Amino acid sequence: MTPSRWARGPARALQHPLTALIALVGVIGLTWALLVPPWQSPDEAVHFAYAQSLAERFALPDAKDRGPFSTDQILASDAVHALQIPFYTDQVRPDWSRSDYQRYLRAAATHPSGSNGGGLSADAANPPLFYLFDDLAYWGSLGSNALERLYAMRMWNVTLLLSAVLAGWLLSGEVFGRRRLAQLTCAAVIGLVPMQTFVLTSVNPDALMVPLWTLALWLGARVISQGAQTRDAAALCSLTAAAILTKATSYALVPPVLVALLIGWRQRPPAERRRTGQQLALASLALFVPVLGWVGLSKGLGRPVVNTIQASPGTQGHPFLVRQFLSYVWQFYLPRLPFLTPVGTSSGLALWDVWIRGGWGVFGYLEVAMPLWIYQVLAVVTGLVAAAALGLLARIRDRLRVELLTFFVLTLLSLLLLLHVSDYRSLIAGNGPLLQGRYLLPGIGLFGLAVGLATTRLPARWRGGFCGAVIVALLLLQVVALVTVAKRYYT
Amino acid sequence: MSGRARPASRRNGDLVIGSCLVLAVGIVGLVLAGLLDRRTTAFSVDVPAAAAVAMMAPGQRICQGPLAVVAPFNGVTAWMLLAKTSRAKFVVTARPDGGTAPTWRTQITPQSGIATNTPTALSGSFSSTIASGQRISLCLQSHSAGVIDVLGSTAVRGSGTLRLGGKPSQLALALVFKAPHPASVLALIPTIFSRAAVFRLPWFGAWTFWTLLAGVVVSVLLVLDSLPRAASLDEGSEPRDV
Repeated sequence: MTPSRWARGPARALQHPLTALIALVGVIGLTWALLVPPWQSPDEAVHFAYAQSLAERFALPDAKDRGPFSTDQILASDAVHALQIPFYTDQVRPDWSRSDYQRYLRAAATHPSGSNGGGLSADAANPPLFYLFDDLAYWGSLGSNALERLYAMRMWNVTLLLSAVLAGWLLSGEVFGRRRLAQLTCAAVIGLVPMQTFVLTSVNPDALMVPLWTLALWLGARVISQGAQTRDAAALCSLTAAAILTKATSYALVPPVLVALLIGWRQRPPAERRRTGQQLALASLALFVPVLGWVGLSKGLGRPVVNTIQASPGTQGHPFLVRQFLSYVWQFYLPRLPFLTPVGTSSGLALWDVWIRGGWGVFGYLEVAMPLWIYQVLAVVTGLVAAAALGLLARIRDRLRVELLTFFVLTLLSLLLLLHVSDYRSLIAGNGPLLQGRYLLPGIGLFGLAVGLATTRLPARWRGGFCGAVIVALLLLQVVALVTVAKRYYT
Repeated sequence: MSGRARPASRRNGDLVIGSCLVLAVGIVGLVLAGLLDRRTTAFSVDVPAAAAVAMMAPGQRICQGPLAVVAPFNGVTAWMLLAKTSRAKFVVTARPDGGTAPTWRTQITPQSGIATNTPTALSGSFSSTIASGQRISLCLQSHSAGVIDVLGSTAVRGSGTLRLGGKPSQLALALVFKAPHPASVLALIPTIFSRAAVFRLPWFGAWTFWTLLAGVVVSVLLVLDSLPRAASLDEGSEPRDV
């Protein structure tokens, strides 16, 4: 091989749109991982404590005789005012001096215990898969204090963001065929929404949920379009099990996955269905065995299988009423009608506050927001994308496309149903609203598909420009988001 | 207009140029926003306004120190719990630690509307700038009508401690100090990168974020440059029609 041909190989690879996008998302992901101060991500302190408990004690965080945080974590948290910054935004504004950092390093050099945490916390009932994933970075980090391990874990989680981008590329390729511009648009949406880059580079089980769900969407589409090949079915079931072992929200994946397997099975000629059914039954063991194993282990350890919602102390919970639940859902998405009793404590429309603002990007402990007009523009954009997608999808008549659409719609509705039931139950238990925008991120593959669909429907001469405009707009949004975070914490 | 389609190479070139132009316009807008956005905080003592640490009657005086001046300042903000009808006015004096005569003096009053039982910020500006690198003591004297709760929390390193009834306590006021010359966000980028590099890995520095910024620029250009190739590949393939 001549040197010029050898040099062409890597250069050619960089010209591939997916490679270039992976590079861009990777650098932006690293920036998020390193820019956000320690534990300034929702519940990151508790999730770090869970991971540390597994890493140091090889035990789930359920000890009743100790606190949730280790001395190692408390020392680091105090050094960076982690618990005060989110709640006293005007008064606590650290100047992040090197001398303070050196003082912390001297204290950390005395090796405060990292194994005297592991007590009960709000997220202790979570399954362990994400935490085990992050423990690879914990163990592999060369650092010896909580801060260095935290940042090693965050940087490791950039791989999850990149996996989500790759999954989006595969998903849109499965649905639209090898249309690079549509694939690039879909993958860019998945990789560059600011809330996505913020959450997926934090120590948070949502970071693993998103790529698993996006991969499940891809494999579900493959199972439907290629007649439930055994390998695809087994992989889909394994991914679904992995998602459930990451966070209980992923039980919402089970109905659409079963529907996808059923649809794929029906694609087969009648003569093959018996054998295919047996193979699919075997493949489904990849879903049920790990999940039932975890359920059995949890019960054996006396742990809750899922996070339970209990009435807050001093209040009496209310029963689940279907009519009231429907009223709650109406009031989440639409203005309250005069005859409806208010449900929930939000003064404005929850759709705006939770899904639009929170879904596109509110950072820190939800106290760091971009300028209001940005969210107003994003609300219009989201509405236009949704309307365009609905308009295009309403015209679908082809049977395979209808089946794919059924799978995607069922996935979204199943996720929303589980989230809203949980939120409603929290409200009637007197605990206040539960939902945050990041809980919708597992469905971001569908939003990417909607934008990709719009790309395919444009005249050919416009598609490249549209794709470029989407990427540039997302990039500028990323800059606004990063500057918002930087201003909040470092000026 | 001719019915002939423009050459693919020219269309693809236009694509990249168009995307770069849009990006450039966006960057210019962000730069302008960064120039206009001015940050006024010099430093804070990092004590939250979590609880009342002193209840000040009219004429009463409390002092806190020594606190470290880590950046030059000419304004101060403290937090109080006020009623809507409160006419809160405090005189703040500062002197170098160990000195006796106040060297700097200002009056702090509410700068915006008062919400009952919600911490209200009272601010004021000194007539001259207090230089960094020294330790000072700060005193508040109430010229308000009625008893007013002054907010703070446990003292931390560098915040100084509050003297109550002439005796040192473990408490401190929540105080934030204002810079004499507010800097734009754009001008603060090197400072932001330096601060963001601390409490990470020991070998991190501001260079880490400069490198990431360069990486973003390079990878954006790679993505935009890949668009013509993606468009060409699409033209040559037989895609599935949804």
